[in-house]
Amino acid sequence: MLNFVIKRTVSMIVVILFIVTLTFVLMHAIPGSPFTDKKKLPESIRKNIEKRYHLDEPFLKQYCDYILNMFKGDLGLSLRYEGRRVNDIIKKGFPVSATLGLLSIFFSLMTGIPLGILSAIKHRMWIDRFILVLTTFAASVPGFVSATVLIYFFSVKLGWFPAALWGSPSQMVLPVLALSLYPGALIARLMRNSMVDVLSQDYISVVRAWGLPCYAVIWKHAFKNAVLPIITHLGPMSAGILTGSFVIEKIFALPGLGQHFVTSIINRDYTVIMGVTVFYSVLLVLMNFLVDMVCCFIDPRVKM
Amino acid sequence: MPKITKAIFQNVEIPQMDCQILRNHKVKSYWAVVFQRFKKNKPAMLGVYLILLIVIMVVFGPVLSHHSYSDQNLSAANLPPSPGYWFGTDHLGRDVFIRVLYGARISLAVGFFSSIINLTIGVVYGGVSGLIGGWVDNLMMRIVEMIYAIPLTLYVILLMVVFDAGLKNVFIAIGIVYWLETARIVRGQVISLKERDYVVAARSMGAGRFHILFKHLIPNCIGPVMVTMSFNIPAAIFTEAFLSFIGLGVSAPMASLGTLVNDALLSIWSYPWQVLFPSAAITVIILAFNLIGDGLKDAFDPRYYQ
Repeated sequence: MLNFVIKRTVSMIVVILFIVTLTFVLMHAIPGSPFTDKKKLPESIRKNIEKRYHLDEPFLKQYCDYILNMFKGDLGLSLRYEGRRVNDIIKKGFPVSATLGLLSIFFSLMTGIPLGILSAIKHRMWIDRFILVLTTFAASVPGFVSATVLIYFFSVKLGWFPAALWGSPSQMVLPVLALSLYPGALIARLMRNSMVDVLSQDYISVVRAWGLPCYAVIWKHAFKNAVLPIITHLGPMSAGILTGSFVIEKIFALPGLGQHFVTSIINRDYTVIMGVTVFYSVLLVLMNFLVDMVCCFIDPRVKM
Repeated sequence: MPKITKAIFQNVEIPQMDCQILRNHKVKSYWAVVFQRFKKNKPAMLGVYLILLIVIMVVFGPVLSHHSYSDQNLSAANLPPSPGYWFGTDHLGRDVFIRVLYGARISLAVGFFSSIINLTIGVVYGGVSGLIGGWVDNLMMRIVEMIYAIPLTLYVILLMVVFDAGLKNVFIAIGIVYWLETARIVRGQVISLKERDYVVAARSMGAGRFHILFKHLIPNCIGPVMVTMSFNIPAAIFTEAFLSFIGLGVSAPMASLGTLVNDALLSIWSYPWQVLFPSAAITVIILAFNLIGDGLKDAFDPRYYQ
């Protein structure tokens, strides 16, 4: 166990270094300095600005400084907004995005798992077919489409929920719904398939032969094994939720980190792009690490 | 003892082995079986017909229409759907129908070209890794595992920032990022195939490693690779729509479906059809590809008949 944890931790650190390097190299591969296109600055002023952001230093020095600062927890200054630090942007935006993301993960698990189980119990019956059609459809709707459809019906037509902004629970309903549609559908399908697999195994036939009622078979015996693929899927799923949140935050005008990220892309605010990418990547790598640990902890069959 | 006469015997109908049937029953090839299973899958066939229909509309629609995707006519701005403008017009008086068709063209092109790019990278990478084996394979797969941990869409975004907007760049950015699944599958196939007798035979006849890889191993991976590709296509379309929605896709006056939705979003209160049609189009395209993908997966899956 300890061996496994150490091995995974080392590989995680390697991955994080790889991510930082990749991001840094990509951002510095953009031709020209970020300030060359800016309304014909006099040469001396441009030099001064570049000096302020350490852009005049050699590439390797910049890289080493970036890594060192990153491990100190400092992601640098925004290039477009004078005096704003990337850390502040993350500190301000991330709580909103995290709330949105966690609520969506929670909601999609709460709808996807029961739907999947129901579908597996009624395998090949009309309700299974119906859920399959529903989830196939839901998995084909891009986030911006589901969000606009929800806005159109629930805000424009019915006026039940507000179409924008963040704060009160009623403002959270539509964004969370829109964001969890796709992962919810995927979870339902995953749960269905794994539950069908588990239910066809011998030990289930045995407990059925004992005469256990259906719900006891499902909850006491099948569920634990069937839910494992869902847990491993949580890592990729949070990556999907994250990129989905860019779109959702943009549509619903939420003051989240995704919104800032999209704005910084449009503004070509390279340090913010770099900082947020690194932040998100590290977050997801940690998430994957955590999921692996949980899996290995609850499932003794997982190879360590 | 009764006398044995002819009368106590009677004719019994001999169960005839219908040799004719057996003789006529051709052994079906693997591909024929797969194709047959696929054809039986109604949703998957629906997907195929939908894609065919969309392709025909996208290829011939713009030719037949007298509007063009960049024609502006301010006196006809924001019209609702009518016989003249099937999907209405946008805020510059451009015909939404034609713009949706062009958007669908871009979506299909992205799905096609970027999955060809990631197919090529994935097949070569996985094939080489599986064929060479040993520490090279180990290293190559470690790299894949490492990339797996990274949120890939973020890096597509980053690549688009580096490359700048444009259709060709979208192909490349999506194509060079999503090849991991293909590589893994091809590697697994190659490893399981490379000890087969026919490969040993080819090797004993002096065939080179890469000849074996490209002539014998990769052609036998087509099934699983097709399945992955059929899921890569909608994923690429999804990503392109996402990119253009956040403003990183193709540049104006060309518009992909994501751009169309994004542009029309501000006027959803007054002109909802401008959002509705491109949204529906992208959903139908992705849905059709997903249906085909599910069908292919079932058709290639040996557990299908259980």
